[in-house]
Formats: sequence, structure tokens, C-alpha cells
Amino acid sequence: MNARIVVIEDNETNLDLMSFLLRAFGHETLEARSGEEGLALIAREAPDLLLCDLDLPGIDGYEVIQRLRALRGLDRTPAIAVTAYAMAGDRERALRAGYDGYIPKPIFPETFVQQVEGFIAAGRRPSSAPTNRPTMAQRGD
Amino acid sequence: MPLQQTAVPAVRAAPGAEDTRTPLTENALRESERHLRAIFDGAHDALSVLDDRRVIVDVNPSACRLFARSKPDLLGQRCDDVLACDRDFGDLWSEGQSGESVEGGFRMVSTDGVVRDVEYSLRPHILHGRHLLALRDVTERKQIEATQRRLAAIVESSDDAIVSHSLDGTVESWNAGATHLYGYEASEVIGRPIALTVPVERMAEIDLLWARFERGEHVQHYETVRLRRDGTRIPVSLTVSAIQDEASGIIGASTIARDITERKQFERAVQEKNLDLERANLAKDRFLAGMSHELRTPLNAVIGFTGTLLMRLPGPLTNEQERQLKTIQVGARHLLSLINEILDVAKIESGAVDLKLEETSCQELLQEVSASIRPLAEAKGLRLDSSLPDRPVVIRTDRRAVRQIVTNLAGNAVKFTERGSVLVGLETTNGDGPPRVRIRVTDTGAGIAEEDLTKLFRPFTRLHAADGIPREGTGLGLHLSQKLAHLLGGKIEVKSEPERGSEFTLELPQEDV
Repeated sequence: MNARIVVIEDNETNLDLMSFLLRAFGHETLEARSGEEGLALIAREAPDLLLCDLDLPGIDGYEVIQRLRALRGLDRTPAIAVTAYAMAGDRERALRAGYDGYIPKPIFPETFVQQVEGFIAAGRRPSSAPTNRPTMAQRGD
Repeated sequence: MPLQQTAVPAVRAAPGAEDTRTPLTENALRESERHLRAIFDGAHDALSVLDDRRVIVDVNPSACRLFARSKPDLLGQRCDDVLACDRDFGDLWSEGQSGESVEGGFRMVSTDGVVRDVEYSLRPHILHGRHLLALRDVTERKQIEATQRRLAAIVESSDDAIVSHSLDGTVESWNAGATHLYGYEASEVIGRPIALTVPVERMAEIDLLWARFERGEHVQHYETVRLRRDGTRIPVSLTVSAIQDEASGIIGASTIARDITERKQFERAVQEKNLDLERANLAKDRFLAGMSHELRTPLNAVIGFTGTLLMRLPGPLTNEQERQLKTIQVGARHLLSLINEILDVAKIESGAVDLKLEETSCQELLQEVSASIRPLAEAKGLRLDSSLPDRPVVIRTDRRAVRQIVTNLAGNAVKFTERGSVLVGLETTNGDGPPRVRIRVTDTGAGIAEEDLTKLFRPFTRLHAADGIPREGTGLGLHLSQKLAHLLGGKIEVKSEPERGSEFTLELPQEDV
């Protein structure tokens, strides 16, 4: 299973780590260093999965997922938040914002790729909004 | 108050006394005498006519009542013998002999033993050799006056402003407290409208209060603002009571106003303090979240790239490279545990932990924990047993916190045991007090020396195990677990015997915390 994965991460080292790991397991990575850049990349490339940091310059990861979920045709792209926000409640907040998965930093390379591949296989979480008409209101709960 | 002039009684002229009156017909004379007799007998005051030797020659019914003796009994007695009072009657008599009336008061005891306050008026020589002694019982009036004086003293000494006013709002009384509170002297304000103590913006309130008052509602501790003479506004608490008149009902109201400036200031100070605390807590939460984020980011690179190297993704490793990389990995993971636990402790201590109480099956939870610990136990060749009751035990608690505590206890048990087994047990209490559940983790490990048991739950306590084998650990696990247990309304207790093993018991309430 070779997937095309967009990784949005402003920290070069962490971007390098995730890209290296994913490529080592045969996936293709498309890198973006800001939310805006990442959304443009998704719109152009229609990837199989998005990995997104939450603390980003410009629009943050919560805004990225809201905008992604409003993109016609691309709104069902599976998305995982990969974040150093790892206090109680942070997981719930990310999932509420529209992410399908949540992986706290530091990541464990032994299991990371396996976790990510699980989401590609599963696709969008079942509780997601209807394909053609996701709205901001449905996301903003 | 001096005794009022009593109608001069008509007394029979003494024999031989010269009659200076205009001659009248016999009939008219008798008519006049009957008239005056009726006045004498009908008088409220106790009237006695005495002769020069102070012998009683006539008394009216009021006098009989006052002395508590009949008229025949009194006539012919010397007044000194009949009147038992705290004045010497002889002195009083002598004063009167100058020809002037003598007036005053004394206390007397009547024949029936009752003590009475009496006002007297001695009018000497109303006729030749005839003297009139008028006595008025003022006992009741004196009592009322004394009560009034007491009440007035209470009102006057009160720190509260006590003001009474008539139905039309005219001030009728004003105590020292009112002078102090409002800044007007009683003399300046009595007769003027009470409204001068009410700020313009509160004028409507008077009608409102009055309406409540007329509906029979008690107006008590009504918090509002009143106006001082110098224009400053004072927060007050008002209590309004009706002034009733037997005949005409409510004739006015008395208002007690208490200055609550200090209390209001105190309340504001407390409010501001609370806001400050809230802000400080929020700042602390933000700081903790920020610190967590900032510490994890570089750790991600360390743990991540150590991992990829050890996975040999970039290429092969020599044995020595692998050994050294594993040392980095262990250190980095230890650092991560420390960060997690320090943040957890900090969160609990700042009260920033939100418990999520939910129905939790103890059996399910313990099986989950056992499953996660089992690989560690089996790797050391230990047996991991559980002893769970068949009947489902469900408690309302924070599942995540309980799982964290039990994982810590079971993990420690495996860590400090080299041979034998670790047992996870569950039981419910049926004794007195609210029902509780006990989760027990028993090991056959090194045990803990008695002197170390008390230090066990302190932060960064790293005890040397009785078997001398050093173990990994942050020194925060038990400290954190105990804090979490307290947060859940429970506690962790420990029993241990060196070389035999230890038993840690987490006790939790079955009901909500």
C-alpha cells in the first residue's frame, strides 16, 4: 500500500523525521510548512491522507481541518493531528475540530507508520458529515 | 409633671366658722353643696381633708382605694399613721404651714402592701382649720416612662440609624446613629421629609418599598444606597417596621439603616481576589500547556531519530552504535515520563484537573491493565494473576485516572519482583459507612523496609530496594497516584514485609466523589 501523504509541519526537524519515516516505508510525502501552503497542496494533489501539526504560523491546525472539511470533493480526505499539545482534553479537542486521528508528540517511530496506515485503510471516520455538503456549522460543534 | 389644680372641694364648714359667702337661699345652698360633693367624690385623685392635728375628717372614694381602707376606717385617724411613705409627713406638713401649697412625689405602701408612686399636693387652710391633701397614683405612668427611657437609651446608643416617620414621610424621630450616618442633627431634620436622605436615582424605590410594606410584607435587610448631607452615597441595609396605632392602624414607619460600606468593600475585595486567583490559575494552565508543548517538540526529534537509527532505516549499525543509541533511547523515554508526570502533578496541584466521572466496570478496567502489564511480567518470568468477583462491580469514577493509578501500582509490582507472581484483586466493602471498592496489587517481591513506608508517597523518593537491585523510575509515580486517588475521594494504602513482598490497596468510593 503506497500512499500519497501531505505533511504540514513548520518545524524542519519534525517534518524531516515524519517524511523520512513515511518514505522509508514506501509512501510518497508532500511537504508544507504552513496551513495555507498545505491546503493549496491538498487542493492540487488530492492526497490519500493529511498529517497536520496544530501549532502553525498563519492559520493553525484547527483552522486547516475546518477549511479542508469544507472543500468540495476533498472533504473526505482522512486527516491526523500530530501535535505536541498532549495534555488532557487535547485529543478530544482535535477530534471535535474534525480530525480523524490524533498522535501526540513525541512520536514513536516503531509504531508511527503502522498507526498512520490504519487511517488510510479506514478512510474517513464514520461520524463524518455527508460527502457533498459539509458545513462549517457541522464542524464547529 | 406637677399635679394639676384639683377642684376645690366643698366641705362642710367647720362649726363656728364664719360664713363669708353671699347669703343664698337654703335650697340653693343645699343644691350647691350636693354639686360640690359630687365633684369631690367623683375626682380621680385621692382627696383627704385634714384638721390642724392632721386628723382625717373627710376622704373621697379614690382615697379609700389608694389607702385600701374603708372611709369609716380612715375617718378620725391621724394621716401620719395611715400614710406609710418614704417622706416624713411631719416635714411635709411643716412646709405647708407657711400657707403656700406644697407639691412633690413620694413612694407609699398601702394597707394591701402594694408599693405605689404617688404625686402629692398639700393645700393648707382651704378653710379655717381645714387642709386638703390630694394624692395621685402615678405608678403606671412612671413604669411607662421608665420603659420609654430604656427604649430611648437603646435606640440612642445603637450604631444603626433608627428613624421614624409619619405616613406622609415627615421625620418624627432621629437617633444618634442617624446623625452619624446621615450627617444631620435630630433638631435639623425632625419635621422635614425623610426623602432628603434618598438619592435622586433611588426615589422610585420609596413607593416600591411602601407598596410592599402595605401588602404586609416584611422589609428586612433591603440593600440600597442613601444620601449623606455632604452628598456622598452610602450603601445601607434597611429594615422597615410599621408603627401601629390601636385606633387608626398604621400611622408611620420606623426604618433601621445599617451602614454596610465595610461589608461591601470586603465583598468587592473578595471578588477581586477571586478574579485574581482565576487569572493566576488561567496563566498557570497556559504556562503548563506551553511548557508541555515546548518540551515535547525537541524530544520528538531525539526519540524519533534514535528510533529510526535503531530500526536501521538509514543503514546498518555496529554493536557499539546500537548499545549507545539504546542508552539515548532509555534516557529520552525516561525524560518523557518525567515531563508527563511533573505536568500531571502540577495540574493536580493547580486544580486544573477536570475529572470525567462515568460508570466504570472495575473488572473491565483491571483486565485492560493486566493485558498491558502482562508482556512485562512474562518477560521477567513472573505470573500475573487476577482475582475478580463474578458479580460485576461498577463505580462512578474517572476511568482514565483509575487506570493510571492501577497501571502504576501493577507496573511497580512487576518492576520490584524478581521471582513469583503479581496478583491483582478486587473486593467491595460491606461494613459501616458508604460502600467502597478495594483494588489490591500484591507481589512476592523485595518488599519495603518499615522506615521507608512513610516516605513512599513523597515526590522524587527513590528507595533502594531490599534486594539491592537498582530500578528505573521517575520517583513521581506513587506521589502522583496518591494525589489522583485523593482527587477521586479515595486513598492508597501499603503493607509490606521485606523479602516477602508488598501489598498496595487503592480504595475508592462507589458513589460520586
